[in-house]
Amino acid sequence: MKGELLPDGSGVFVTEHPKETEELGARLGRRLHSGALLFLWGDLGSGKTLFTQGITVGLQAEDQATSPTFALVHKYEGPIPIYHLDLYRLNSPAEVQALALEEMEAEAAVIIVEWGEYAQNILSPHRLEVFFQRGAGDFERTLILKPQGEEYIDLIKELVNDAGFRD
Amino acid sequence: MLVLGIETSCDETSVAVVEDGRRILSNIILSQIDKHAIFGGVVPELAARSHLEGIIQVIDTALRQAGVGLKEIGLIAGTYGPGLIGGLLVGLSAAKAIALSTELPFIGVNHVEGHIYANFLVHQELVPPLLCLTVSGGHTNLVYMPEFTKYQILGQTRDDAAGEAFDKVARVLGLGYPGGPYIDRLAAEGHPVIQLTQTDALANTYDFSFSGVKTAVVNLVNSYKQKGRPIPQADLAASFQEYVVSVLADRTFRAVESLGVHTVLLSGGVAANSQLRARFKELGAERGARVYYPPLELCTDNAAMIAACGYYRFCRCGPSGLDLPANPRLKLA
Repeated sequence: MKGELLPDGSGVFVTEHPKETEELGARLGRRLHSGALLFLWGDLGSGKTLFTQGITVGLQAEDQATSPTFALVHKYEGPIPIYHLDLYRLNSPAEVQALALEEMEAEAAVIIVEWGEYAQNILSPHRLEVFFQRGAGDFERTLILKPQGEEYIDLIKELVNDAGFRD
Repeated sequence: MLVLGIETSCDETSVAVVEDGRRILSNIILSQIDKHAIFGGVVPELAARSHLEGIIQVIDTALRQAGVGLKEIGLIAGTYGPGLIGGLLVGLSAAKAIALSTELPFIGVNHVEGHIYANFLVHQELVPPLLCLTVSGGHTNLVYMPEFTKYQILGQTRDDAAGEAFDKVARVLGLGYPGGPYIDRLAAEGHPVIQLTQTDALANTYDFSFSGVKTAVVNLVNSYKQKGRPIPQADLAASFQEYVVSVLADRTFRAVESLGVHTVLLSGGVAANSQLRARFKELGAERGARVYYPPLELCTDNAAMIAACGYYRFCRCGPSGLDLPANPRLKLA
């Protein structure tokens, strides 16, 4: 795994194998505080749920994450509860409103949102955005972690230091 | 005893009247698939609203078609999870309201447990111990049932449900929703000649993973597109389906051997898959296990299976309280 810090505070990570994507999620999970909000952006099969599985491991949740596509929202219990949302099937912000996201935000949990386009203006602007891109070959992925808010800046620096620099 | 069953956990608003957990008097299913097809999946808000609009009429129709009134009903059974919360609340509230106003006992039913009982409605000789593989859009469970209402989950999915993988691969191939029937038909025109995954990391467990094979299909489709080559749709569908079927068969028949079970059930929407049925029949004949699956209309969500399950659960464990809450993430214990 390679990592690099961009001038705007974003971290760029290249993982060569799904295991590394999961590991990056676990490293992030170990550093997340309650109230953290993550938006994951990427195509089908780009590693979003795998990354989230890593986060649940890092946060020592009782269950490992599975795809929330069917149920829309999964909650994993643990030292810090985790809400894992997949809003792919929603068609408007009004439908997102019906999920009562503000109640999840009030709960001192970690919230992870996939396909969160319609939740953008409903949830807090302080968030960590994660972009998933396919790389060379079938397994390589580039993950860009972009901090929106002070609380995520140091965390990204630590992750970059852990990852080893890109040449 | 006549049981009125109500099921609203996902796409279907369904109400049924079933006698003694075995004989269907009526099983009305109001499907919302047409409404959801344009979105490539179930839309929860739409689903809850449609359930609400349809439920009373479906209850009336189920009773009328069974030729009975509420007076003749002995038990009200309603799904209380897992599923989409909005839909669950509609059906569960209706079930409780009827029970309260008629002073009939009420029983809450686990949707996944209900799927197992779909088989009991059509195969009268069926009794535990048995093994049941439930495969649908939201669930992938391999369950050992030593006796009625007792379950041991042997394996489940680590990521995507089997039916969900069919839906997502169908989406990538530009087919319709739900993906299962489209892939099934397309696969029949192709050959499973494309290597889609490297190793089966869960080969020594009874668990499933379908995310990797989905990603492999996405990778291939992308690479065909980048090279400007035509996508071998039928071969991809056949190769994907072959992978899923072989993983499901591997887990199930290893369990058959290690538990010494002679009865295997298939249930859930993916149990409608023609290749899955054929493979299980073939392996069952080879390994000395009888394989059962429900007819197509009982593979997908329906209230008859909820009524049947409710009957067995009520006979052994008594009624549920009217304060039983809906539980979207209900587990089978």
